[in-house]
Amino acid sequence: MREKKLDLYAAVVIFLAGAFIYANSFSISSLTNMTIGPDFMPKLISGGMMVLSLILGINAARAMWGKSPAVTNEEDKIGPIVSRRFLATVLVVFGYFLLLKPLGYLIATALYGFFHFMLLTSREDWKKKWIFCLILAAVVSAGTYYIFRNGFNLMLPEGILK
Amino acid sequence: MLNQFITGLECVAHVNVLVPIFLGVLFGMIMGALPGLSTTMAIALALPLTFGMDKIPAMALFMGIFTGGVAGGMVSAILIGVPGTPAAVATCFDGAPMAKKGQAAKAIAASNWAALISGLLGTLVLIFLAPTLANYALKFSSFEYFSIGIFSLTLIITLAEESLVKGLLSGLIGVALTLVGTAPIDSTPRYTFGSTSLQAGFGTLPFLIAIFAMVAILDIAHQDPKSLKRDIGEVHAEGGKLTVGEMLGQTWNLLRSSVIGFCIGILPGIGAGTSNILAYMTAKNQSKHPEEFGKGSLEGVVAPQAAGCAGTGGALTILMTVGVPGDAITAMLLGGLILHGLTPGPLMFLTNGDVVYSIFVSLLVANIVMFLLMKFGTRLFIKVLSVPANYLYPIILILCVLGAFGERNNLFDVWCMLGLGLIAYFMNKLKFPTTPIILGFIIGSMVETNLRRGLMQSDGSFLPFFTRPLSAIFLVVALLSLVWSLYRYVQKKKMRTV
Repeated sequence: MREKKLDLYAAVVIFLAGAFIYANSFSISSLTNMTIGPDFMPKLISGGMMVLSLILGINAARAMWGKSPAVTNEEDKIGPIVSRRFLATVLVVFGYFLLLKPLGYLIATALYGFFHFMLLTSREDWKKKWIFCLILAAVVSAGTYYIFRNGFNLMLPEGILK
Repeated sequence: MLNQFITGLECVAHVNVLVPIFLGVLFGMIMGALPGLSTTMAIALALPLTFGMDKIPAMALFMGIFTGGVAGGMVSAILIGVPGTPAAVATCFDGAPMAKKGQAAKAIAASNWAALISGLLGTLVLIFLAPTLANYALKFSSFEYFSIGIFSLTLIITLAEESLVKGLLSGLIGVALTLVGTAPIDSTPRYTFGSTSLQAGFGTLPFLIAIFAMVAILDIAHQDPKSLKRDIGEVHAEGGKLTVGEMLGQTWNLLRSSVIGFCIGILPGIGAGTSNILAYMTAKNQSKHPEEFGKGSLEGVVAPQAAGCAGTGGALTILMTVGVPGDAITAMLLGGLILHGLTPGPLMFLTNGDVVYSIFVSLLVANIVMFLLMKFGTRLFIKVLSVPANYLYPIILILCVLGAFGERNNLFDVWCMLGLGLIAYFMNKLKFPTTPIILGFIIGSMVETNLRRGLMQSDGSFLPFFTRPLSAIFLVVALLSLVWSLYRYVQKKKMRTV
C-alpha cells in the first residue's frame, strides 16, 4: 500500500511539473517562422507527462481504495527512502558544494571526505578510525588536486588558499 | 578498410595509448567485480580523467573500461555468488556451485577463455560490419534520423521493467530535461528564466554522473555501516584445472552464445543483462546434460560469459554507425565521444577514420589485456572485493565533482549534478526505471533537431517522413515494436494477476 501511496505523490509532482512546462511553453517566442516552433516539443512532452501521471495516479488510487486487484506483499516491497543518515549525507554533500568556492577545493574536499567517511563508519569504530579518516581525506583531496590541476590542467577553485 | 585498420594499429601501438587501455581494463574489472558499482559508473568516473587527453588515448581508456567492466562481473559471480554486473547474473547459476565444489579456478579459467574468444569474435564482426553499415547510413537524412530516434524511443517500453507508465514517464522526464537551454535550429531560449548558466542546458556529464553515481552514493546511506565493511569471508580461487579438451568441447556452445550476445547487443534497449540469461537458457535447452545446470556445469559458465562479452561488439556497432546508444553503457560512451568533439555516426568514419579504427584496435587489445589480467590477477580482485564501501563511496563523489566541474569549469554543473541526482534517487526508489531517462535525454534532442530540420527541408511537409523508404521502414518497425511490447506487457500483467 505504501508503494501505491508514493506513486500517488509522484503522479501529483509529475503532473504539476508537466503543467508548469506546458504553461511556460506559451512564453517561448520563436525567432523564425517554421511549421514547428521551439514550443512544440515542450507542449508535446508536458502533455504526455500530464496524461501519464494522471494514469499513474488513477491506478494508484484504485489500488489504494480497492477497485483494483489487491496489492500483494511482494509488490509492495519498497525500501527506506529518507532516513536520518540519508539526510545527513545530503547535508554533508550540500555543505561541501557550498564551501567549494569560498574555502577552495583542497580544504572543502578534505573536510567533506572526513565527515562522509565518518558518517559511513559505525559509531563503535569512530574512536579507532577518526585519525585514519582524517589522513585519508587529506591524502585524497591533495592527490586528486595534484592530478587534476597539474595532469589535466583543471582550474579547481582555490578559495582562501589563493 | 585494411589501410584504415593499419592506421588504427599504428595509432594504438604507442605507450600513451596502451597504458590507458591497460588502466582502463584494470579499472573496469575492479568496478565490474564490485557488486553495486557498474561499468557505466566506471566510465562516468573516468570521463574527467580524459579532459587533458587526446582523442585516441581517451577512447582507448573507454574501450578498456567497457571490456574490463563486462568481464569483471564474473569474479564476484563465481567466487562469492553475487554478480558484479547485470551481464554476470547467469554466470552465478553455475559459477558459484563450481566454486563451492572446489573448482573455482576451473570456472574462472573457462569464463576467462570464453570472455577472450567471444570478445575478439564480437570485435572482428564489428570491424567488418560497421564500415558497410556506415556506408549505408551515409544515405540517411534528417527524415531517417528522426525515424530512428522514434524507433529508439519506442524501445523505452521494453526497458520499462515493472510498470509501463513509469517507464514512459521516465523517458519523458529525460526528454523534458533537454528542453532547458537554447532550442535546436533557431537557438530560442527555453526555460532559462533569465539565467545565463541555464542557457547551455544541462551538461551531459553532470546528468550521467547524477543518474549513476549520485544515486548509488545517496542509496548507500541507508545501509548499516557495519555491512559496508564487505566481510566476504574466506574466498578460495584455487581448485580444478581446465583442460584443452574440456574447452574445445565448448566450441559450439561458445560460438552460439557469442552470436546470441552480439545480436542482442545490436538491438537497442536490451543489452548484456538479457543476453547472458538467454544464452544460458539456450545452452541448457541444447545441452546433452541439462540436469547438471545449476549444479556447476561448465557449459553454464561459458554460455553467459560469451554472450556478455560478444555483446560489447554488437552494442558498439549500432553506436558507431548510426550514433544511437542501445543501453546505458553505450549512452555513457556516447557522452564520452561527444565530450571529445566526436559525433558517432557514418560521418565519423569519413572525418575521423583514424579514431574509429583506433577504437576497434583498442577493443581487440583490451580483450587480450583483460584475459591476461584475469589469468594472473585473480588474487588482486579477491582483495578488491573486500575494500570497505565506506571509504569507496565518498571518494567516488569527489571524482564525480571533478567530472561535473571539469566539463565546463563551472560550479553550477556541480549543483545540477546534486539536483538531478536527488531527482534520480527518488525516481529510483519509487521504481521508475533509470535507463529510459538516459535514452530520453540523449535521443530527445536528436529527435527534435531532426524533426525541425526535416520540416525545413520539406517546406513544412510531413510527407517525406512517411514516403522516404528508409524513414518509413523505421517508423513501421517502431510501430510494430510498440505494438509487440504492449502486447507482451499486457500478457505479462495478465499472468501476474493469475
